[in-house]
Amino acid sequence: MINAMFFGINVILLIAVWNLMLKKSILDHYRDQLFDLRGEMREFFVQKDISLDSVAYKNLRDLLNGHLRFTETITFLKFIVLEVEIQKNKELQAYLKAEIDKRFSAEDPALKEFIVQVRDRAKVILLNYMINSSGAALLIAFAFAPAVIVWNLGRVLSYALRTGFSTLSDGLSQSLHEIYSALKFVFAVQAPIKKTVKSDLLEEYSFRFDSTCVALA
Amino acid sequence: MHNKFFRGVVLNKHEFEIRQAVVGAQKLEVWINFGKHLTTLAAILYALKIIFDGLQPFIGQNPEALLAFAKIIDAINPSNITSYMVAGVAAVGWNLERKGKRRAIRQKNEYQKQVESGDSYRSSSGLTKTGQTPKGVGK
Repeated sequence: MINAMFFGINVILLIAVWNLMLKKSILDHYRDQLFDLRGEMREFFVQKDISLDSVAYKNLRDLLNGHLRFTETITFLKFIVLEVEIQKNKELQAYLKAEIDKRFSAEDPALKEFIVQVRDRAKVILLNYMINSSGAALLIAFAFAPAVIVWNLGRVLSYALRTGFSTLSDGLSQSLHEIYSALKFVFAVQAPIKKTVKSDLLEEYSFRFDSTCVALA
Repeated sequence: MHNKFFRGVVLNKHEFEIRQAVVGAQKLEVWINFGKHLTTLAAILYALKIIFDGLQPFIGQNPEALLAFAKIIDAINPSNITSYMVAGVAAVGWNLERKGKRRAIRQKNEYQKQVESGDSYRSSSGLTKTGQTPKGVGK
């Protein structure tokens, strides 16, 4: 009975630690990454002597500022619900894509590539935050981690059998990298989620809609 | 798009659809958060029930509160006490580090403003001086 009593005390302490401490630190951790990304972006424009008045810089900076401001409001559940709604409407998807591409278009190929990199990195940071700040998603990650590891091991074996052992080292190095990612239990579920979720909506959410929804509220 | 005769925002069809989806998701989120809070509350109440059930044998067998408390202390493993002390110290340490971090962010912001003061475009994230979400935004 004394063990059951301590179990009860520990459950309460765990809930308190998660809500009052760890979630705040997780938020700060990913916000730090967004701030670093914003600094790198400014550095790029300064080094390449591109005006900070340019449309590309303004839009990228506003995008990252939106991500920073609304990080906490972009929850995993809300995002999945929005994605499901948007993906039902092909016309709307096409509109979103066209709007976003217009906003972040650039003539210079190097600048264009840099813009894509910044956007992708910002999306990954936000997705990581959404998953790691959700207790439910973390529990699912822990639950699915063994399956993801077995799945990746299966991929290594299947690749080896298909390509023969002469190219095994190439396949192994690539697959070992993926197995390593899967072994980080907390991040094990992120790979399939990132592949299945089209995250253009993340940018619209931060850039425009959530700010207006806050104003409406 | 803004209309000078209308003190609001005029939306096109797609923007309206997205706004509808966002509001729908926010409404669903209210219910989900309610469910989450209920679940947390249920977990805490169940944990309290387990605690009191654990205390019951000691209080039941000996009505004298002091003696019952002594029996509980007897039953507690010294490693449990040490573990809770470690957790308490770690929590205090975390709090101190976090205060230091907020102080560092506040000072870094000042220097960053000076460095970027010449920028032709310097929009802000709108976070507080210590990097927290401002009131009125967020959960």
